[in-house]
Amino acid sequence: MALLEQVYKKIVKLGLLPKLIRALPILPLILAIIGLGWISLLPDDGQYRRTYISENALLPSQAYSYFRESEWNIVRGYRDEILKFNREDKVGNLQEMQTWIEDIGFKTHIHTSEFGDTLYGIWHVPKGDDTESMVLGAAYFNSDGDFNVGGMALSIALGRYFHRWNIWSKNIIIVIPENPNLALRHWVNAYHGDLDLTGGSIEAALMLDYASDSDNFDYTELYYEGLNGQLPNLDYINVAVSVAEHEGSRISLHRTPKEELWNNDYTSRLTILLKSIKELALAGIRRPHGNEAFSGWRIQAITLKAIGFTGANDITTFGRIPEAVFRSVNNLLEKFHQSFFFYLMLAPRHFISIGTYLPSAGFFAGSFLLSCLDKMLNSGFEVNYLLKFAPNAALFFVAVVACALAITLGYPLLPTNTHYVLIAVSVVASVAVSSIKIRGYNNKEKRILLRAISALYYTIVLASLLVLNFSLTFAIGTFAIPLCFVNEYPRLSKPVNNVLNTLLLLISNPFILSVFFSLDFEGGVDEFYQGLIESWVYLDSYTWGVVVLGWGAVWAGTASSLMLVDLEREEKVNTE
Amino acid sequence: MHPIQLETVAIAATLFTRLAIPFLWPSVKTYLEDETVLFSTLITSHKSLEEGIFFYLNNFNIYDGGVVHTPPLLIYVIAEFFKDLQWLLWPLIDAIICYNIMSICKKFSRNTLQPWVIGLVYALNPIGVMENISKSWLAFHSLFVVLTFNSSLKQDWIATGLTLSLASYLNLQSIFLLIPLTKVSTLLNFTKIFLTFIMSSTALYFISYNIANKSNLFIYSTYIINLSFTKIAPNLGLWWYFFTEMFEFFIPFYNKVFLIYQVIFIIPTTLRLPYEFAFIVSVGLLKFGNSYAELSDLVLLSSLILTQSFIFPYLRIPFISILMLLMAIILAPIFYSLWINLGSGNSNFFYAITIVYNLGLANLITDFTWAVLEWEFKLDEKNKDVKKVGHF
Repeated sequence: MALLEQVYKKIVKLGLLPKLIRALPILPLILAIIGLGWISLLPDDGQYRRTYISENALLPSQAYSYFRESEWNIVRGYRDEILKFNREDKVGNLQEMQTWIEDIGFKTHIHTSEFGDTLYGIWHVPKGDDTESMVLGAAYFNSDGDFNVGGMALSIALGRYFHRWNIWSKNIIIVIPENPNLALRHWVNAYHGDLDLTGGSIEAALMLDYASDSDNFDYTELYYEGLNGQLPNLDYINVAVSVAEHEGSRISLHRTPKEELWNNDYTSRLTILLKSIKELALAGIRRPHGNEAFSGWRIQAITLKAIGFTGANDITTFGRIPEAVFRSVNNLLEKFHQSFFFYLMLAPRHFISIGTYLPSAGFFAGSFLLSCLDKMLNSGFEVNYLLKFAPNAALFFVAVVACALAITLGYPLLPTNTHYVLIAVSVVASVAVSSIKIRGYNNKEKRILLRAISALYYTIVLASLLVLNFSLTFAIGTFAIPLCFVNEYPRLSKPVNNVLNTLLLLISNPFILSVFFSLDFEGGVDEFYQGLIESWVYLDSYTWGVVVLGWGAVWAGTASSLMLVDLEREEKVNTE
Repeated sequence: MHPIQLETVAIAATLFTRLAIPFLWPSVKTYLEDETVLFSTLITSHKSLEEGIFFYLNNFNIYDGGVVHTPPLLIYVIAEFFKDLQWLLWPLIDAIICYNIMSICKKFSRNTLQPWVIGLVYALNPIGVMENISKSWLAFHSLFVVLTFNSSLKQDWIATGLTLSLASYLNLQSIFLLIPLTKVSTLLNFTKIFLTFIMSSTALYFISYNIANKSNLFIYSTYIINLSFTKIAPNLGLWWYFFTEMFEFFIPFYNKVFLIYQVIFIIPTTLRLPYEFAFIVSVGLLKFGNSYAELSDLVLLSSLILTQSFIFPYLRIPFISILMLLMAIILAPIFYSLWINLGSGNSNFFYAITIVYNLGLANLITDFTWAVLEWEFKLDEKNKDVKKVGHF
């Protein structure tokens, strides 16, 4: 305690506390800059780590993979048959493929849902104890809506190939959903619910996406982002990367184009880092690739997508990746638990673990806390006097949150184009709040408290989301930071101040910014909102709720605080 | 409105919140009754109580299965008289607690806040509401602690001894509340408390013995398990992590250290502080070192602290304590589900946040003690001035 006392005395002596309180208005900005700077430092040498296989039992590529020339004709045979399909007759084709899988020796069933049918087959492996399984899947149409010929042919051929071996200790499930989005999710839901034909808990899932009839492909894209900030165990990704590179295919994370695949410098790592934060924050909103559907049941899931039509790798190379991954997973005696569940990838073989990157989003939560303190301590009022108005302001904020809750729950029921209304209302509100005045006694105190409560609320939202979903926290923290600086600046003239506040409100509104977020969506804002709502309603993703209830409520609280004008003082100014 | 009317409103609000929410949202009720980590422990959960009632009604030996840890008399009373009225019983307990808290408030004329404000705070405290809906039977213990406090302030010594014996019947550690009670009265009166306590505890033991099929198994299941911490499960307390991670031969040592730790501060606290504060701080200390901790501890402690509202201006860091407790209470279920449901976190996440919770609790207790000392000091200064004026 003596040391603490020394520190305390020093602080008092230097007058640090009053200085800090005076600096409070700009401290949020400084913290935000530190947060961003922290992230930008991470791809630098020495800050990140090389991936390694943590679970010794996995032994990736230790067994020779045999899915080669002998299987060539089988893959080609299935592919030719699939190519003969009338693509629109999905039900008939699934039934046709069902007979093939049945012939191999799998038990099959077609699961129907309003979002599309799902064909799946289970082989209860003779040596296993029938409690665990691995899923190999290929969607009928992939996430881009292309016909997934290669993927389906490969997974059926792999099923046939796996069936000839007796080494398996976990059941093998082949899944062919109509789409990798809602149909697959519905199947996963049903698998953990009321399906009759099941094969025990799914330990790992691998979705294949080979949407061409070409024999060759260039490189492999790996998708691993789960919903709600969940990620597959890093060991699983490591196995996939190491197997794929062992077989000769480069791995591309987050759609890194071919010419950048060999880069490994600060810029390339930073690019992938920022892309990964973006993709993880947008998980579920962007059209899912298939792995997202398994989120929430302790299933490690990734999607592999073959890119290109030419290149040194042929389709059996792509098949050897699942083969070797399955051999590795098959070795496991317990669930994936060794390696990291929270990480950010910088390159296929470089990552940052949670302890290193977490502070950066923590700084954003901190800056809102400081903003709250700033409102309370630098208001010109005694804190104890201010607190008298706290119940009043809190009630006001509760009303704001209730409105946000109504939007959160009500919006999914409204027609699909309502988001234009939301955006328009946000723009109008940002402009209008400076001119609309709600007059009342002691409104200044209430305004200060409303701001403080909003900031405190957002701190709690960010802090509780921090570990669950770092990327979303980081994103909504970064984009909401201008809200800390919406203020009445005595040095600025009234119109300039109003314009500044309007601008700050405009660039920190979730709905207005959604236009910016959806820039690289094919369908633009419409697709963005469709994904947001679909993932909220059908995929149990909480992004929509967090954005509206957290960010939206704080924005509305801040904006409406500008409307509160003190009756008494206003009159005084007029009479003066 | 008249204060008495407002007090009735507070009690009505207590009843209303606790009755309306389970009625309007039955899913909240099921969630809170099943969600065992924050609001109840394996020992105090409503599920295990129901199990006990079932065993009792079907004439099984209640404690054979090792699932039930509820004292026999409580099972008997609920099974015989309140089996289908449980939805009313728990809200009633809270209403009685609310009434008693307000009547404690009235004992202290120096209080700045009106008793009905405190009652309303108790009624609307969301954690209290959720705790009550979760139907942890520790609510009965809270009730008897509050009753003990109230009747000791009323100088009703027989009632004090009786309620304290009931409180310690439900949670053994409460015996140590006898220590602050030495301060409230003369030796003669304390003897009254003590004798009532001994007699009623003996009676409770024999009643329990008869209810539990004339066997002493219940002593192990209800008391020893609390002291020895053999049923290790994650909870808000500080114990479980130590005992899962530790080498086995260290366990007896740490067990004793923890047990001593619960009690050892009570004596100096009693020596130094006036009775009412000594009692509150002792409750806090007993709850802080609890082996099976849950949020009802915080509810009890905070409602006792609320009865001393004149002390609030002397608290140094209430903002920090509240923020710590708030963060811990919000994050604890998140980290728990990350570990247990999603599997992407691990026990360290949850333990870290329980440490924050306990730091917040400790912070609250120390801050309260400090505030009492400062209040006393200021009071002395004032008295000195008065004396000076008187002298000259």
